[in-house]
Amino acid sequence: MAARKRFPNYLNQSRGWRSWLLTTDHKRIAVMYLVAVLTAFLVGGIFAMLIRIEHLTPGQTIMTAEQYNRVFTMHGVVMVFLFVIPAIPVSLGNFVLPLMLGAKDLAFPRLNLAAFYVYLLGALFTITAMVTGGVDTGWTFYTPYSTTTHGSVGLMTMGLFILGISSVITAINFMVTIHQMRAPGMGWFEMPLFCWGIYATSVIQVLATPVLGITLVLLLMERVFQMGIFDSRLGGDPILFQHFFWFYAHPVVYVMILPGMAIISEIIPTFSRKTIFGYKAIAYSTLAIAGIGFLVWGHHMFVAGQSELATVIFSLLTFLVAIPSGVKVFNWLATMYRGSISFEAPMLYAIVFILLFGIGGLAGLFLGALSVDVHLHDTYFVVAHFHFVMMGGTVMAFLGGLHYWWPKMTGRMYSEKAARVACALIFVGFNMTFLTQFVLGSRGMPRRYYTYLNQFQPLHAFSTFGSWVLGLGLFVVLAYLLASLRKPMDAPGNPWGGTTLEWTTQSPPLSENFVEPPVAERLPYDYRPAETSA
Amino acid sequence: MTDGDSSEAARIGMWLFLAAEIMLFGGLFVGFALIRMRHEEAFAAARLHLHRSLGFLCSLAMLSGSLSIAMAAERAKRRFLVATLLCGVVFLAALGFDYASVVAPGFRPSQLFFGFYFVMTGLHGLHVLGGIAVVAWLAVRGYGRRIELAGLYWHMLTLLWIFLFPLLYLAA
Repeated sequence: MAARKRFPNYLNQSRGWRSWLLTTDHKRIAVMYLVAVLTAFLVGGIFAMLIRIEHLTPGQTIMTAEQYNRVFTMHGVVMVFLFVIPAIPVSLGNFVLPLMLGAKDLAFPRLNLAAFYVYLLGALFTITAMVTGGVDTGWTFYTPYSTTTHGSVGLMTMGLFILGISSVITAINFMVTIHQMRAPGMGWFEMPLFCWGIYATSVIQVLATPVLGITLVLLLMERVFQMGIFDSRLGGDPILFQHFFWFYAHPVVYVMILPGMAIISEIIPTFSRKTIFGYKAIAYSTLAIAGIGFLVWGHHMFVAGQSELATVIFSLLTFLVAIPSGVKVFNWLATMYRGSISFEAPMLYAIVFILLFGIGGLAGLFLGALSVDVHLHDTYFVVAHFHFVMMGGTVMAFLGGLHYWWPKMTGRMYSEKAARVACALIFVGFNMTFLTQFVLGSRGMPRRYYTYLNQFQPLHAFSTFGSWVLGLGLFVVLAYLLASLRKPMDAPGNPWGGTTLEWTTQSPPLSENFVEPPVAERLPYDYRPAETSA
Repeated sequence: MTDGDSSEAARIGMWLFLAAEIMLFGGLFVGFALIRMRHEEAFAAARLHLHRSLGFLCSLAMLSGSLSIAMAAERAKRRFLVATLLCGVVFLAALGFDYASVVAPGFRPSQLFFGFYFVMTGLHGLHVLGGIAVVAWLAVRGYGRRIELAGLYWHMLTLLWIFLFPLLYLAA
């Protein structure tokens, strides 16, 4: 391996800022996206820290109630729209999808770059809205509050509309790439499972994002022209906004989690040295989650005056989502069973994912149960639930994927020892922060409130201390990943013994990805010796 | 990648884009249906203020535009593209006249029916404007196989109008 000739790679192929800003290379665009989404993660994280510090004591700690409303809105908007929704597909997906398929690039490389700039434009609008007037509606923009409150709601809705365009363009690009650019010999059921995850995610993006778009247009019309569609005084219906919003926003939580699950399906077989258990079951469960995900939006509105019949149906459909999710978890566990497991950083994050997602997912069933939800609705229990699936799920998978493909993306290995310490800090900090919130919520602490009863103070303070441990862990990750960039490029092409095509090229890959266009001769996750496979 | 592959990729991409567009308008249709169900009489009265003849002209313009762009794809002659362009302009002009006549007596978007009317036709009109730009670009820069993609887009706009016209102008 060491004797093999190294070709100029995509990082040192050409120099100068123009070669980056005008590139159509999916790998360079992925790196730019990675910087962008990590910046968003940092900004959203700072807002999160401010929220937690404010909750150290009841009443005012560091900010006024009005500032607090804005800060938690910013935290939600930045984390949801600028980070969690795009993060995995546009950075890691953009980088490895063509490599996994054995392709030279995405189907529409120029469109890929355009989508990046559309994302930046949307982010610019969103950030402008924050610094000019601010928004205090929460990330859900419920009417009638959002149509009557002061601040920059209009500017922010435009920003989110633009971000949606970027998502749709990227999703179309990914879908066409998967349809058209698979290596010779790679059928649909011979793709790595990551590609299935990206495909299902893209389907949701294409079909759900436009509904958010039209909802935001109507919200803007309502604010500017008093159109009345969401205003009961003018014959409209504020609940209709919630239906529209969640028709988008519920499928989109699967946009957030499916790419994470897809990463786990890559990491587990690699570090168990074993073929994935139930390939087809995982692929179909991915599609099932995407499909059922469109039919459960009403579970956000159990206490909003929905008809009883609708409520019962939505509850039932919500429980159905647990089946394909469970299929995945059990298949991952079955893959690990009797495997030759090693615990490098990506695998640690994968195990953390299974644990935290398991708790978060099961908490979702509590909330899907009608009578229980009446008690838990709009409490910290909900906050804990979605942080377990979004942060404990998606962010842990993102970190796992980042550690998994970091050598491929940068050509450098990071400090494994530092990575283990950071993973432990993150795990402990996360559970201190959010397990506590399950307790807070079940005891009746409402979400989004500025202040609280004195009896909740010890738990709130504990949660805040946890957030510091969590933040420290994330900064350690940032530190050793950046430190690794100072080293020479020493990563082998296949540091983990992976079987998918991205590991057959050098690290970092050359601009054209492969020296010779690869042919998919073996199935992904085939760990049998070469002579007995085929 | 061969040329055949890439045009197939573009076609799949276009169909996916159209799916996204249908979902964009879909929300409006659902909202309209729901609010109309609650205010049937008010909606029926409000729609009498629209000019059916102008709506009919709009329909004719969209359908003729679809016909001429289909012929442009078939025959590869520039004059068919120019015909599509003109149809688009006629459509926008007719819609503009209808807007003027609705706004003049004081119907602002704040009345629900007219709110829907302005948002639905306005969004559709913006799409037609985009279609005109694309067709003009093809007419100037040369066309080839891309014309088929522009045609798909135009046909979708025609189809949407086929639903919008009776919904807003005719159904009583």
